[in-house]
Amino acid sequence: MTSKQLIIDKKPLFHRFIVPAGLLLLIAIVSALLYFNSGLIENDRIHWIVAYVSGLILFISIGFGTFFVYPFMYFRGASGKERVLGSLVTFIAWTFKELVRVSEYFTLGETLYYSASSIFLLILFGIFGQMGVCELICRKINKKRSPESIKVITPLPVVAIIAALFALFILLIWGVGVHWFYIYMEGYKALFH
Amino acid sequence: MGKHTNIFHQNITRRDVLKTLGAASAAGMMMPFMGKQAFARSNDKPPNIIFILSDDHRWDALSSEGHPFIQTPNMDKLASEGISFNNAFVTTSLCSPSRASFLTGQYAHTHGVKNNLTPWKDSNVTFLEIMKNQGYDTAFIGKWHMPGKIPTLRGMDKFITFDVQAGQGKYFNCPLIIDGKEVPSRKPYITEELTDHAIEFMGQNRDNPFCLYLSHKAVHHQFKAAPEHQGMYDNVPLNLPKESDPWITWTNGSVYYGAIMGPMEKFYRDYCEAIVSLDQQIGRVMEKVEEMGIADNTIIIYTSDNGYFWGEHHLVDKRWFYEESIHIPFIVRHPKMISAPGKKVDQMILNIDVAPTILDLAGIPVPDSMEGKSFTPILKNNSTPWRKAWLYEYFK
Repeated sequence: MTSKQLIIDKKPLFHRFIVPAGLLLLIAIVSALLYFNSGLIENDRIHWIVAYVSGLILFISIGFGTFFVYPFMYFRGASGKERVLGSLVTFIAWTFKELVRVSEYFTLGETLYYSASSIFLLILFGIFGQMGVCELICRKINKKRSPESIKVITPLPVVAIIAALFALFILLIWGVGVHWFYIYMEGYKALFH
Repeated sequence: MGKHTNIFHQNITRRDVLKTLGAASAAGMMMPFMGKQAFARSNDKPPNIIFILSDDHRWDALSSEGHPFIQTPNMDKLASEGISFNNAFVTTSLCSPSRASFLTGQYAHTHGVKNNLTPWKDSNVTFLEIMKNQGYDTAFIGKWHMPGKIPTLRGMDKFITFDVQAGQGKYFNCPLIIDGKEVPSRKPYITEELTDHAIEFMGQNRDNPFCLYLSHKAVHHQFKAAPEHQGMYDNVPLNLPKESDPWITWTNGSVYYGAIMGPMEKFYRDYCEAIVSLDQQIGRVMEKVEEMGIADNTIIIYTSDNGYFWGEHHLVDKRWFYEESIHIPFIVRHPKMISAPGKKVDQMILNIDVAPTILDLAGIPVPDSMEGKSFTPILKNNSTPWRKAWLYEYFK
């Protein structure tokens, strides 16, 4: 993210931002449509294959799409802010869809609080961790290509990775996610009951 | 005598009872209301009652209900010696409200525990409290799990529960709260630990009949079996429904409620193994009843606080008004009253019926505040006409 890295050609916005972020979003939308409508398929085996494969792609696109988007954008000259935003587009779209869904039976406040539940935090921190990993890998690759010296390890990506691992522990590994869930529900009770 | 007249738990008519009471002395007439002394004088001692409540055990996850691989020999034995209700339901399919309904005989909108966040009101009257007032020795052992501070539950000779993990407890090494004092668990596995306490209570020397409310944490998430049962179903083919793909646990909102994130098939295998562990401990209670020689005069009831979705309707958890969620196993063993053991009946009974039924079986008047209905008539006569409809409610 330093000026030395700008030796990479900066492609137009469409190519450096819209294509990678939009492509991931499109994959997520198509797989979600397939997944949530797979029950319409009468043949059990075909249904299972479609549900499993589309569910897997949906899961990967939301949870791990950053591994695709971030390097893509990096090597097309996207700025740091663009890379962060591009990595979050699919997650934001998914979160928005989920908030709309629960808003059918929860108040606005409860709906917003829902976004602090484990799954969203886990994905969000996971995305930042992935960005940290991708940043380090991209710098490493760029360093090999670049005649100029590029510092690969800097605090920000390392902190992002550590934060993601910490979140993974708190949200999913610690009591298989149950402890955080109770903390979350205590917060819900304090705020809304 | 309250809503249903049945003092001595035999197949007798209301007229028979009135005749008997008419001929009896004034003291004899008041016997059911005189507590310990009344029981001491009676030649036909009121029955002991063991009510066993599990958590999230859906109605079809027993071998006696045709489950393809779960083996529950002890629940099956209970069913073969008693009556199974094919259509037992909860009026709110969620732990806390359902538990409060079992205890009070009331709907959630009456007892006030509307969800897992609204507190238990100390003004609520449990059937255990009423039984204590009528001379029973009483114990509540196990999962309380109602919001708010654990109460000093009225009418309890023994109150053993836990409050860790927001009242859910832990499967292993769960500290207990025994009559208000926290103590470490003696056995690592909670189902065995609670059963130990139940057996100790049953075995106490006493003149009075007892009523034991044994409320297990099992088989709730995290679905942990005893070590000897873990992995026993690792390789069996599962019978999960068509909609139950591995991604449901990550989608469709279940996370907001149940924190169940992970592989569905693994969870289901764990669940089935936890049921086997639960069954084993129920067997220990039954053995204790036999060993004490009280089987003929001890009523055992087994049920659960709600069912569970394993992907049906693309859902995980409970709450929603579908059969998988609201339908519970329900077995009553009562040798003195049940003339055709092993029978399955179709009448629709509810969790709110339990409190009035237990009082009725004990010959104790059922308060008008209870909204359920004693199903004792069904135990006596399997073809008794019964309710055609009932109210289900769910509060977000």
